[in-house]
Amino acid sequence: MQSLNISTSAMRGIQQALDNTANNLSNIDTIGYKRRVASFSELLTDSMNEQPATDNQNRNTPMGIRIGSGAHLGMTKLDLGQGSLKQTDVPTDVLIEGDGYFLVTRKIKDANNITVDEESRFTRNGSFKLSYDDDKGYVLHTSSGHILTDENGANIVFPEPVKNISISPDGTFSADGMPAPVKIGVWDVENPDQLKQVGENLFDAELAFGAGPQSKYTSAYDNGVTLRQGALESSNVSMTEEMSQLVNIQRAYQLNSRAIGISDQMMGIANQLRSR
Amino acid sequence: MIRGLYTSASGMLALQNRQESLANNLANINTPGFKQDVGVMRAFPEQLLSRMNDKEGLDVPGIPTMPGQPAIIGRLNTGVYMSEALPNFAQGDIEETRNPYDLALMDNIQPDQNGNERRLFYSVARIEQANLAQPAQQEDIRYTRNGNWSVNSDGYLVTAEGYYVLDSSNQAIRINHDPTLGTNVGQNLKISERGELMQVTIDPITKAEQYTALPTHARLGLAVVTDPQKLVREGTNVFRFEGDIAVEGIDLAEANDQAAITAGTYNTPTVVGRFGTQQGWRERSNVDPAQTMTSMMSVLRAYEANQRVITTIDGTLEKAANEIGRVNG
Repeated sequence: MQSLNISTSAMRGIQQALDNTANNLSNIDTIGYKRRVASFSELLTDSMNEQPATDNQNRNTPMGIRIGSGAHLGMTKLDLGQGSLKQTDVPTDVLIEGDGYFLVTRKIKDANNITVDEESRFTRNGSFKLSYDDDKGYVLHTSSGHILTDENGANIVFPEPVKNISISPDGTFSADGMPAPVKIGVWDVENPDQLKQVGENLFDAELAFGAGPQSKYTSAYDNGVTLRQGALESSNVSMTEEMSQLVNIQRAYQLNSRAIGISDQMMGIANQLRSR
Repeated sequence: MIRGLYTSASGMLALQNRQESLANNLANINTPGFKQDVGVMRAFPEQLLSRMNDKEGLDVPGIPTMPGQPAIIGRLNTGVYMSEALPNFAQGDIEETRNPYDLALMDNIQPDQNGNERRLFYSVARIEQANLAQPAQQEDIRYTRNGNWSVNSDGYLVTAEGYYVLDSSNQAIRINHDPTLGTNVGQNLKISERGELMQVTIDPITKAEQYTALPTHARLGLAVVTDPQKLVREGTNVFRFEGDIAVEGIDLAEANDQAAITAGTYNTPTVVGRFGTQQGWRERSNVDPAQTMTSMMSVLRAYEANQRVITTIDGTLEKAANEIGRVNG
């Protein structure tokens, strides 16, 4: 009986939607996290022809009866809505107002300590720490160890620890003990949906080793993006929305499991035909 | 006697088909733009029953009772079958998603002069990569109510199943990496209530939002389908046009007879005039879970009843086979 498969396919999809909601909820406090929205789609429909040959009049639909195959989770779409502002007053915390991403990089070294590749990542998480890097000097890095880059895609490095940091809305980073102000790079990504999410709140910028971000992306400052120092962008997950989604998918799961139960009972009834 | 056996068996088969149709509706309870199917049950073609070698019979009007002819008993239906699954094109609820690539389509397009139902659809198509610059071929075009879209890696607006969303000239809509656009539209895409595709830019001085029409894609390809039940349902949320029904683009004169829409009114869902699209919202499935569940339970009971009939007939047959003719039984 096809209806068992139909309901099972739907339940599988609903379970994946539940996984997605659970992941959103668990990242409700992750800085710069963008929620994903699960969306279902229909599976193929087949047209069966098991009607008498005389059944060719008084029909509204094309010949045959349709038997659907159920539903599945079609896609999980990134919701790029801006998260709410969280004031921290930490001088190295930066919030992006508008659509834009920081580019952060990390060197990948081989056994001989020679840089063989570079990971270029985009992030909206503006929580940076100033610390010493053996290779370079003092750098601004993320919690995953990726170093913030400037408007040319080069790492922002200071020879000495800096004090009295100030970041202006146009991205200029200046401080005491710094040779010259640098500008934090913020990049405009046309289609962030298509970037690979690599975990730790990062998107793969898909830049070849040695290629600057200018080769693929444009600066977001041209589109009215500004930075704000001392603040972070909270996750854009809304508790109420996720909870109502949770209720919604739980009910859908229950309904489909009832449908399986009913189909099973029908099969049982058919089985009892000769058991009297 | 045995005729009754087949009648009940046909009933069970038909109910099984109906259960499958109901299960599919329930499975798609969260599919955007899904239209539920209603199973239509129909009696088998009638038979005219007659008794052989008997002059006494029912007087059926119009049919003379001739001596020496078989006497006509009457009509008999020997079963039931599910003849078709009738899609119900009623508007589903709409829900807010705040996603710029989600679009809810609302319409109260009136029936035509002959009373035929008319419904509004988006047109989508699967197009070969090489032919993307040309308008889609008529045979590739499909119709859907699912306005839950995204942008693929080439910058085209696509459905979750990978169909390209078409504009009014049947061309795939490209909002990123389009050489003719000059700039990338992306998240700044605005779709008006009339389905016009526009780009929002912020004036650097006044900070006011400006709407400019996309140079290559003026409007969404909305199509009015007369008698939409004649569409072939392909699954994956799309319908295919086949046969003698009419599909026409939305009439611009009809669309523009309403007062012009002032810019910046995109936040509230409105049905203006005869149709409206609402960006940031999507149309939910029109499956009614309570109704579907109730139907399923009644299907179950009817199935059970048919099984009882079969077992009863079987019991009677058993008597005929084993008890009749037995001496000193």
